[in-house]
Amino acid sequence: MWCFSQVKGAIDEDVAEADIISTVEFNYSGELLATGDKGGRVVIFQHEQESKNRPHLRGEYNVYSTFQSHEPEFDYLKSLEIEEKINKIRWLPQQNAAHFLLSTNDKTIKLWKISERDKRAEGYNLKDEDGRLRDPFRITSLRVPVLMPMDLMVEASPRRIFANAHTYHINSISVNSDHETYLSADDLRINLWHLEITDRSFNIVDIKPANMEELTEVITAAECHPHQCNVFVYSSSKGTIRLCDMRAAALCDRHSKFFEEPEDPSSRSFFSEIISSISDVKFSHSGRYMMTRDYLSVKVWDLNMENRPVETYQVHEYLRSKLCSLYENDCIFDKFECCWNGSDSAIMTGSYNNFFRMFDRNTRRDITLEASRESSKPRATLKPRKVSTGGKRKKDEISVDSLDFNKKILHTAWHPKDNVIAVAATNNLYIFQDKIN
Amino acid sequence: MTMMMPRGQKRKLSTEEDASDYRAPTWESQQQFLLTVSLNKYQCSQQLREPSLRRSVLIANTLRQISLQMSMVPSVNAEVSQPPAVISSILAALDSTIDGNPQPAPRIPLRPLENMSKPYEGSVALVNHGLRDHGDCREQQEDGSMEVMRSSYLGDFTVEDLFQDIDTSLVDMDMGGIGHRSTEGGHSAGDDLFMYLPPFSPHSPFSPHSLTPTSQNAHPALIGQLA
Repeated sequence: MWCFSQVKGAIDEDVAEADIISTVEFNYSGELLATGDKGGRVVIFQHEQESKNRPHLRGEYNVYSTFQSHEPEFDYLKSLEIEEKINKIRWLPQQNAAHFLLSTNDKTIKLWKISERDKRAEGYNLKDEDGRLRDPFRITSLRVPVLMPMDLMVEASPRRIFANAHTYHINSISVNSDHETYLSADDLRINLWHLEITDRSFNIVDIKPANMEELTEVITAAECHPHQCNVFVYSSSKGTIRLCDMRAAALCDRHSKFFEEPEDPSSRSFFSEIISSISDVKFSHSGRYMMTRDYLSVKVWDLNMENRPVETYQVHEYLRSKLCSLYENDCIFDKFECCWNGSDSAIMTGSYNNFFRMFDRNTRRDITLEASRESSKPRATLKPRKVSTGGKRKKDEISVDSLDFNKKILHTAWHPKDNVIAVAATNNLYIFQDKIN
Repeated sequence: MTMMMPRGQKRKLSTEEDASDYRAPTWESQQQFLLTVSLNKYQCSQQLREPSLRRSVLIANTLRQISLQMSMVPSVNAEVSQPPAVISSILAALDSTIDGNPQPAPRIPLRPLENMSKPYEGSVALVNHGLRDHGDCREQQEDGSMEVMRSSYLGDFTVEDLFQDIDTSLVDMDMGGIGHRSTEGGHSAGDDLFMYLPPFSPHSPFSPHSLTPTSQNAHPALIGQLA
């Protein structure tokens, strides 16, 4: 039973483009939830500890830090603006009191350190409390500065900037399980970085043809295996996934495994290739499965079986007969993401009309929910939604033609341990919780 | 969201063409519709602030598919058989290089379709245009000088277009096969156009002749060619 918990963001109908959320990510513990937007900003929410004194704040996420991660840039060589939109945020595993995350726009990846400061040193010898330098002749004795408590300040500082390694637009970053390296992928290449080294990276995949006329396929997503630091996968616009082993060769152009589902000839159309283009690929937490999202479905693959997925879930099959219109209005190019729950028993992905879908892999049950202001009453249970496909529309159902295709849920995230989900609906971030009782 | 269909088309329950029913008139007109839409999209995507390579490649692949299907269908009537030649000439135009000579190509005025009496007459005229210009371009290539291809399909250039340098996404897409590298060797003018009709090979990512998206405008006359 999913219930509304919180919504973040402005309410008014006029949505500023810069406020559109472009990525959502929980950290490893789930304590922090980061969002990136088209304006290049990162907002981090922190989970408040449940307090008996203030039960109404139980388990809420509140703003912890906000900073400008990327600014718009201008590429003078190409006369092109480089968008400041944050494409992806990935957290690093926490190793000390500070938190680290990688954020990327189309061209540049940055490592940010987010640290707390709740003490301040007072009693300096050489300067006053307001910072003015003291006259050295007037200092007659030495004192040891003492740490005094102060209001909590959360500071975000850029620690590394990984730039100039991508000619094409970065679509993915993924931290390796060794916690020392990470990969970044653009349309045609994948690079491997060391977190400490910014002036060079290793190119591990390059699918750029010698003659760009021959280009018919691009890389759409890439991810490192959660446990095997030598394994990663990347997906393509032709609906294929390649698994590569970095031990095999320095340049992983030859895959170790090739995942592709044979096409159903009866459903072939002009749009078959476009709808097969994979928009997201995610390993399960166990590392045994991976999930891919194409335009109409989500597929779960067993890494040991390359010729077809083990599970296929239809997200919005009712759109199959509308592909021509969706091609015309460009919706067919929308890139939906998908995510696993902490135990890999359920998966979630977004759809149109602010709908999002959850599939239980064990019971095979699925549910469609809506992120809307109307159902945003505290702890209100979300009502399952249904799209009517036949001629007759039942009460409470919505017909396909009434769907709002401008309200798309592209980015969702599932708490790594609890049943808490974050759903980005344009400029609003919805947080829902599952109440068992 | 409005469901847009070609004008005059009745909405059917299933708007997708049946792959086996290629002789149906609705299938052909939908093909034409898709071709027009795809060309439009291609043109617009190149003018976007952030042209997406993925989107360009997907649209280009769709265009290639449509052109292949159109060329495979035996012509029911003479008019309908024109589109493959039109498409190939447009593909060839899209393939052309804009590297080299900084002077923009002299614009040849387009013949508006509405002046044509028959629906595809204009396209026949365009094919002839393209052929002739191809020949011109070819001769210039053999001189060793890099000339911007003279074609009625090309829109206005900006200086930036011409100076797009190596190893950038736009330039790579713009580098065409029409002798932009003098080492490649010239092609005879006779088989110029049809050589550029790319073979449709769904399983090979690197087919020998592929559509090269460029930033040039698609032929505007076709845009008015909605049924």
